[in-house]
Parts: sequence; C-alpha cells; structure tokens
Amino acid sequence: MAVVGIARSLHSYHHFTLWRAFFEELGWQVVLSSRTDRQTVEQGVKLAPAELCLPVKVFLGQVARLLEQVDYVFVPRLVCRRLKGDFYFGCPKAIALPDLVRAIFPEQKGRILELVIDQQIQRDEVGFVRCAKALGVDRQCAQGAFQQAKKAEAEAGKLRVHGPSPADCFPPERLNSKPGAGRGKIGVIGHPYLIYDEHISLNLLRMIAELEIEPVIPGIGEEELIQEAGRALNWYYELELIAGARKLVREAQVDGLLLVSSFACGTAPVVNELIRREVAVRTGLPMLTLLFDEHSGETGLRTRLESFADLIRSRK
Amino acid sequence: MRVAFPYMGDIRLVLEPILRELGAEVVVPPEPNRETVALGAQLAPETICLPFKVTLGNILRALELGADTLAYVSGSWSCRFGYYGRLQADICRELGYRFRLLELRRDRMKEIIREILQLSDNSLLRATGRAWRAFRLGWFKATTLEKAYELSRQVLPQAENKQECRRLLRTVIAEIETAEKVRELKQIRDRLTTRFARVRRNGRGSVLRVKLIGESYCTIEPFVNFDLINRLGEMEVWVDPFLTGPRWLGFHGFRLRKGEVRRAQRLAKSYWQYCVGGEDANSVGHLIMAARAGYDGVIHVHPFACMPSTVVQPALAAASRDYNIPLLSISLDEHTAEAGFLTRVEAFVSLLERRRRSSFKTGGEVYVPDQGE
Repeated sequence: MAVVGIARSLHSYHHFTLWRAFFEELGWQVVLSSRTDRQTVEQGVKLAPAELCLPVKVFLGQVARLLEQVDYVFVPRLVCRRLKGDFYFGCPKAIALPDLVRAIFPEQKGRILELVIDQQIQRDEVGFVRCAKALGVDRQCAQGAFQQAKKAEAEAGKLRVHGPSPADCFPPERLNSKPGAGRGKIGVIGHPYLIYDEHISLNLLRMIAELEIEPVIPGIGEEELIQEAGRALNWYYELELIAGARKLVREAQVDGLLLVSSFACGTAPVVNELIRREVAVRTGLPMLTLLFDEHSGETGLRTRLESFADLIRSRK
Repeated sequence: MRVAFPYMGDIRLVLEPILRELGAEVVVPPEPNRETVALGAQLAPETICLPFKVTLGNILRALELGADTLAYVSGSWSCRFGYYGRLQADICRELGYRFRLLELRRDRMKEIIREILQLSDNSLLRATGRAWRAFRLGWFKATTLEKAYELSRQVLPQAENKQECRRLLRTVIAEIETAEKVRELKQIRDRLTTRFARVRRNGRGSVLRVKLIGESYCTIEPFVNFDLINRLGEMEVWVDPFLTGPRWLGFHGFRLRKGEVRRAQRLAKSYWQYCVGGEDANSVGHLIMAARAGYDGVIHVHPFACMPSTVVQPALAAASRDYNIPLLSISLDEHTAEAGFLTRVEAFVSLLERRRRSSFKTGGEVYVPDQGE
C-alpha cells in the first residue's frame, strides 16, 4: 500500500476532508504534512522565486518535506468552478501549482499526483478519475470512491458546531483562542491558510484573544457563496472573503475589521480594495490591513493590534 | 462620445484611427511620465501591479482632457488585468469624475456592436461602411508600424551613428501617425526598406541576438522598460520582442495569427499546461523557439508581483536549463531605477558576448559566424 502526502497549506484547508476520503476509499494511506515551522518556511524560501507569496513558499517547503516521506505528493490544480452559471477562477498560483512544483522538483515529476478541477471543461468527478488513473486505479473504482468522498465531505460539514469553518476540515486543529470577555469583537477576514496557520500568522488569533477581544471568523457555506455570486469578483476563494466581510457586518455586530493577507498575494490588493470600498467606508467600521511575509515579527504585529484594540475600545 | 482608453505603447497609433473612423472622438492622454506614474501609484492599492498604476495615472489625465467614456478590455479570468476597468473606474469616480465605463468583454459583444451602431446614427449600412474603412486603415497602420519597428531593430545595432537610425524611426512613426489614407500608408511602407538601408553601417558582420519575452505591458511600453529595445540596440544587440503594440492588438483584440500562439503553447506544454495570463505560456514557448533558432539569450520582463509572471519563473528557468539558453528575468515597478536596471542588462550582454566567443573557440554551436572581431 503506497502513501499519498497532502501538504498542510493552501486549499487543503478547504478540501482536505474530500481529498483524504477519496484516497483512503481507494485504499491508499494519506499523510498530512506536519505543521508549518521555521524549517518549512526556510526551505520554501530557498526553493521558490523571491516574489512569490508566503503561502506558496510554505506549500513548496511542505512538498519538499513530504517528498522525503511518502510515495506520491498530491498537488491540486484549482482552475475554475461554476456558481449560478458564471465561472469563478482560482488565483493564477493555484492554477499553476503542479507546473510550479514540477519545475522546482524536476527529478520528482513522476511522484507528483495532479488533480484538475476545471468546471469549464469537465465535471469534478472526471478530474478525480484522471488523478486516480495515474495511480493505476480503474474508472469505476475511482467513481465510487469519489461518491463516497463527497458523502464524507457533506457529513463533516454537518458535524461542524460553530458554523462551517474551513479549519474544521482538519484533524484536531487547536485555535487557542479563548473567547474574549465581551470587550469588543474583531472580524478577521483572510484566507484560512493564513489565519489558521499559527506559524505564518504569528498566532494572530491567540494574540487578539489575549487583548480580551473576540476574533470572529465568518464561516461561509456553499449556499451563501452562491448568494453572493454574480458580484464584482471572479475569484472563487476570494469571493468567500468578500461574502465573509458582508456577513460579518450584517450579522455579527463586529467593532472592527482585520484584513489578513500575505505580501505579494496578487488577489489581496483587489479584494481588500473592494472590501474597503464596499464595507468599511460605507459603514464607517475601523479597518486594519495586515500583510504577512517571511520577515514578519511578533512585536510589530502586537503593537499594531494593541493600538487597533485601543481604537475600537475608544469608539465604544 | 469622447472616448479614452488606457495607454500602452504605440497601440494608440492603431486604435485611435480605428475609433475615429468609427465616428467616435478620441482623447489621447500624454505619454506616461514620472508624474502620471506617481499619481497612479498614490491612488492605486499599494501592491497591485505596475501597469495598473501607470494606466490609472494616464486615464486621469484623459479625464482631465475631457473624456466622457472609458473603454477597457476586461473580463472574468484569473489575472488581475480583468479587474482594471472596474477598479480604476471606482477610483476615478471617488475623485469626482463623471464618465461612462465601456467594458469590452467577450460576453458583451452585443452591447459593443450596439455602441458602434449608435455612432453611425443606427444606420447599419453606414456603420458597416465605416467599420470596413476603420479596420482597413487600422490594418495598414499596424502593418506599416510593425515593419518600421522590425527594420529599426535590425538596423540599429549595426548603424554607425545610432542617432541617425533612431531619428529615422521617429520620422517614420510621425509620418504614419499623420497619414490619413491607406494609399499614403502603402507608399510609406514600400519605401521603408530603402530608407533604412540608407543608414550607414559600422561594418560589423554579426551581432548578438536576444529575445524579449514577458508580460505584455512591460514588453511593449518603453516608459516602463526604460526603452529597453533601443537601449539594447545601442549596445549592438539585435532584440526581437515576442510582442509589440500592433501584434498585441492583433492577437488579443482580433484573434489574428492564432497559429503562432498555438505553436508557442504547444512547445510550452511540457513546462506550462494552463495559460493563466501575463503571456505565461507564450513566454515559455518563445523561449524554446528562441533557443531552437539560435538566439544568444532571452530577457524576461514583468511587473513586480505579477501573479502569472512570478509563478512561471521556475518553469522558464527549467526550460532555459534544458535548452541551454541564458535567461535574465527582471521585475519592474515604480521604484525601479534606470541605472540599476541597465547595469543588470549590460552585465547580461557581456555574459552573452563571452559565451559566444568561447563557444566559437570550442567549436560549439554558433549560428552566425562572428566575423567582426
């Protein structure tokens, strides 16, 4: 029985349940890479071109580590999804991920397991069947496994108690955020692979909680996403962020918004600008943008958060 | 309708007559300069790509000049380019400008055609006639320009007096710009070869050949790439950009020469399978073509943090390794200094010179014998 490795970064935070269930259904063992640490980041930074965003560098670092441990490394190519008849794309880096990995690890080409999700040209099932074919699994088996995996994913969604949060898709992920003592709420908007990765985001959520402020992370389900479709944005995973910001302002009565993104993230300037215009300016909510990169320091972050917390309290 | 469109190199020389013939009044903003870029950078989101900042500054100048309609190519795809129109319109409106945003997207062809019809008072016959004339004029402007550039790129490295060649190119472009009739353009085009042949040569037989690839704006707009093509020409390097203003319009605006695009993408296939934008697959394909055609090196220019061009870099590096062709990749933003940029280019050129000399000695593959030295 061979082992398939999945990196604990990028869109694994969205789809890990589905991917794991699929491979396990096929009888493969799945290994999730260990949590991001300094070595992962260092290795990723060494491998990647300097201008790439930190999450992709972290992904590459984790792939490098997985390649030492497992037989195959799973690298998804998330091109396009369809919502209400319109197409919504992944960011260019998500689309190019397998090409990127193959260019960086040219000797390991054969061990990269590519999954293409592109609803412009094929159903998801076809993508999974093709992915399994590379492992020598026949079509019917793969189709069955895909159906089972879909079921598993739906079930995991039902089990979530505190609203659907992508982090719930992960095996026990400690958030370490004790709820604040009602001294304010901050909405945290950002890709799950940033805010839930304690190493990249320097324990942001815990730091907020330590300031006795409750961090609120909007959970956006598929239906809510469909509601938001047809708006200004054509990136699937970023639509989620905008939907989240709108939902927070509408329902959760937050006192401020924290936009978390990484330096050199291509979608962030556009998404943050749209959120700023649509939500923050219109409602007058205080907003803080945090950019993370491999040089981020905890002290600087703490200082900015503290002053943001002061601002929020002074407005109350 | 006083229409303006984002500024990109010499595209205006083709697009302006087309729009004018169609019946629209065209507002052409001045060329990008330090001021407009600073203005754009100040108003744009901080980490967005350079072309956004440059075109934003320019579109604001056009609005000051009285444009009331902004035409943008836009659409739903993965690259940020698809959002330029919407975001820039929001920013301009916030500053108090009033205008109409005309998004040229493939799913809105009907509206665009209706727009063109309206310019001709809804007379289909008149509109068709105008469109025919417009595109015919545009076609001749584009091909004449293309030929002039090509000759200038070829002659400049070998010209004895570089200024003579550059002056000639400027004169020719001015002539093309003022020409109103196809007949005049044909005359200009036919005389181009002889005119450039008259430029005195320095007698050196062969020059280095470099392919320029990268993101389209950085490849085409001389202001952001510090006039790289001519600068290299002055260093006696024959540069062949994979994309020029007129060619960009041809490929993306009118879907011409699909064969070439497809060929590049087929070649790139083993390195780059999905085209995301920023001319990624084309860049990889053209790098391979350049290697096969015996070019000495490849220069890749792109805006800082351009998503597709950043992520394609390892693939380009892999192809350059496999095909044994030197590659220089440079990212540009509003802080890029000319001196630093040119130093890197000069160092690359001397690397290429040494490489060619040594391969000549060792009997390696040399496509053009180096007679000059």
